[in-house]
Amino acid sequence: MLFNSYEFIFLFLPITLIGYFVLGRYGKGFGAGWLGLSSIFFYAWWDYRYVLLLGASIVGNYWFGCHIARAHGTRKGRILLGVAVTTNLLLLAYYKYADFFINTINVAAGADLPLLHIVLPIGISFFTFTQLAFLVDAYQGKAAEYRFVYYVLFVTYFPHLIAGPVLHHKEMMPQFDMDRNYRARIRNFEIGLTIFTIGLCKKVLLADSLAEYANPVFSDPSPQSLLVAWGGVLAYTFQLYFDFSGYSDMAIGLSRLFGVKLPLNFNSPYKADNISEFWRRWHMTLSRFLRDYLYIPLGGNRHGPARRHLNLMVTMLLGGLWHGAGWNFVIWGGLHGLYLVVNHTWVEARSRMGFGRRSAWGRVAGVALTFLAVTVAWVFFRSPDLPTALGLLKGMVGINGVELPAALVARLGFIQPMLESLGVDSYLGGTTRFVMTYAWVAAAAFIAFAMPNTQEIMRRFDPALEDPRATMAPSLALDRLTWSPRLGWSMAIGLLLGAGLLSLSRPTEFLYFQF
Amino acid sequence: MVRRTRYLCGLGVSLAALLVAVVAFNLVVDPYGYVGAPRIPGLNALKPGPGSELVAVKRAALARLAPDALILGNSRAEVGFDPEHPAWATRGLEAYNAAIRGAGLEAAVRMLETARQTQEPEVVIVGLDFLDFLTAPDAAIRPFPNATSESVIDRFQRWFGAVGTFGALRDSVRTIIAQHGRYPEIITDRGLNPLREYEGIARVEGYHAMFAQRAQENARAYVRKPSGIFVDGTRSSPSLSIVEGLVERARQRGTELHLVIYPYHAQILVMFEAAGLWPAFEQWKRRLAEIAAKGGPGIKLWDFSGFSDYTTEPIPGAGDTTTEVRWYWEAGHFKKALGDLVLERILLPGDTADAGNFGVRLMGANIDAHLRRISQDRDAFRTSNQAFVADTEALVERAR
Repeated sequence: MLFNSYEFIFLFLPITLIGYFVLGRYGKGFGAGWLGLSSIFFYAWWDYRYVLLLGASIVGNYWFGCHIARAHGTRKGRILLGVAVTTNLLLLAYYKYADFFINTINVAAGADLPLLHIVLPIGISFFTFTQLAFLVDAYQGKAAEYRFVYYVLFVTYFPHLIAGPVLHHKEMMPQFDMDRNYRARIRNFEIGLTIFTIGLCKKVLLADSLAEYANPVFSDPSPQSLLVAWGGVLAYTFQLYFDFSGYSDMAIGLSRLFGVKLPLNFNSPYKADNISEFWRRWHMTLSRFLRDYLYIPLGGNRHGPARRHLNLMVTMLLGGLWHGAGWNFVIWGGLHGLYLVVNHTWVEARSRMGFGRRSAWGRVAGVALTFLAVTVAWVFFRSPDLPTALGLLKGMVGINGVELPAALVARLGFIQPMLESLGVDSYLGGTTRFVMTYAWVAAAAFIAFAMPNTQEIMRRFDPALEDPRATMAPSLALDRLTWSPRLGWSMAIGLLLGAGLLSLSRPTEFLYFQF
Repeated sequence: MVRRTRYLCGLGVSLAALLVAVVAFNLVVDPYGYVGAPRIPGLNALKPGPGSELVAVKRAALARLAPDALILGNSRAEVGFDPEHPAWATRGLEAYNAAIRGAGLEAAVRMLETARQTQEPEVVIVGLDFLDFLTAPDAAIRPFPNATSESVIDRFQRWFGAVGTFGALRDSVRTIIAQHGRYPEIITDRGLNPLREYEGIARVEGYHAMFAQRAQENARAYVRKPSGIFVDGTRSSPSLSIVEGLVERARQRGTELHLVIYPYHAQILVMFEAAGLWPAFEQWKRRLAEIAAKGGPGIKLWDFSGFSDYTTEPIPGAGDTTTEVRWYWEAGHFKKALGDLVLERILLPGDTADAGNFGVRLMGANIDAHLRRISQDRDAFRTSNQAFVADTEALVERAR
């Protein structure tokens, strides 16, 4: 069931909400139990075959977690933790990476091992990671023991189950234990519905429209000229942002209907003026997880710059592989690791050379360079294979020449000779697609770079666990676009929700479901 | 309480107002003709080409019009074969063009079976596209497609899609624009796509550009196609087995079935040869003739794909935006004018005074001679159009 489908919005959500608040009157356990069962139903709707796997994962990890917590800091606890973490990683490796490893061996050693063709259990990366954090914290004595029903709900909670945010038990379990969250509150509905609507519109109005112009360049094996390649890649750059941040907004909004706040997952990442900042703004809950449970345990920055750089590379390579079982994802992660190393080296060099604060232009250049680097890396992330990615990059650096649609050139009149002198060629057909690609990219860029984001708009009403006011980037019309439960806003959000609902007829999947 | 719920009420009211406005607008304009709203000139008299709703629109029309003659195929048939050509009336038939652009034979069979739920067609014309028959040697041959009836949920979804979506709103707006455009993108009530928008493009960019663009796309597609027509170890393929099924069912039902090999422009024929597809092209015709022969006298296989005066119509040169091409929009899509000649040849045999080599009925006995003649015509065409042939071959070579 997709968040952007009729059955979810008009059946699942209302029934789950009503059951939750009605049963919640008889006790938190009933309300949480209902929500957990509904979430499992939500999961089973995708693929009932893996409900048992999900169930076994939850029961097993809860059992291990409880025993590890009781033996925290001891040898027994360490052994239990080792067994539990290994089991989780083996399961993930089997379901997600088995064919990738076999294929790699086949290619590297010229072997002919048969592939297993295992269907990926949806959300396995997310529910494995949330539980790994729980196990590690249990060993460190940081995880309090909660009722089993809250644990089930923490793992299965439908707003995050399929594609995150990557939740942390410390921020979720206490909320499931709060009496007030089992009572329907108008303010929660106002905020939740508003955030959900903004997310829905990001997905169905922006991301899905951009997809139409992004997909062709990644599926066409023929060489792409400079502007065509850039148009498609930029369309994908914004599609992915609006798709995933739209999904995250919908998750935050949906959860708020149940009184539960989720952590922020996006914070205008393309406004970042360096790559470290980008990772503090993009898929924030995954960055946080990788930092706390991979980068820091590897040694973080505690053993000198060389080791720090190595730790960054390892973290990003594994982070890349987490996104998908393919070498393109590894390259993507490797590129980001490299970007981070370069960024750290540059920052150190700047401070050693005694440079002061950056000017406004320096910041603009930083944003542009970061965006360029991120966009180039997306080419690997999105391309079905390495040759496609390299082919597109060739197009993006101009090796295949610069072309405009012939019909457009014919209408450019006075600058036509100038284009010719610059070596700009023309191609037949595709005029509408070319023009629409850049029109959508321009509109999306304006929203992503200049407008306040969802939590900035909602900042006066605690939209998420973190306070968005601490990390706001500059944007236009922030004051006018600050939400409050006034009639004007209600009308605007009603119209946006209507626009979103009218665009539901052909639901499209969210990009992050595949991870 | 009212004060406390003011925000949610406001949201609900504006949401409802927008939905009601959109639904009302779509009901009045009725872009797909489902609702039967009054047709008002300047507002909704013409219906736009419905894009993704095409199948649903044509299915609904089949149920409404109950035609006794059907045109099936892909965009070539949808654009070229006029269901309102006088030849139909001469034969006492009411035809509908149920061809679906971009679709293969399976979609054609589904349209046929849909039509049969209302009215058993007496005459069926099926356009056969050689490219649909090129198959991977390990392709799975599936059972003959069954009729799919529209369930209550399907019907609800269709109606909902026609009134309660942005897609419908966009098509409503396109409907209104189409009434006032010079070259509107429409389909007729009988399912023909007159491709008027191509007329507009031809006026601005000329036919040369249209032929050239399509030729580039075709070249890229042809060199990537498999070059055989049979699945390994058989004399069949997914598409051939559908033709066998069509022939067998037409024989059982007593339907007059015309299998029509489209009149490809010579540019496409040269491309077939350059892409190494010519042997498969001939083998395909032989196999079709065998299959058609099994169906008895009611089943007729027509080949319009030779080098005739029509299919060798010259393509205007680069930069020429004024010369009109009489028979083609571009090499793959013939105009209604040529489609009319095809229909006359098929429906009114004997009426066409001099068909020459345009439209030959293939039977077991004449297939060798027919293929030989096309080969000779091809060689003659190559000799007299050397520059054109060289350019076309170069295009295919570049696409490799």
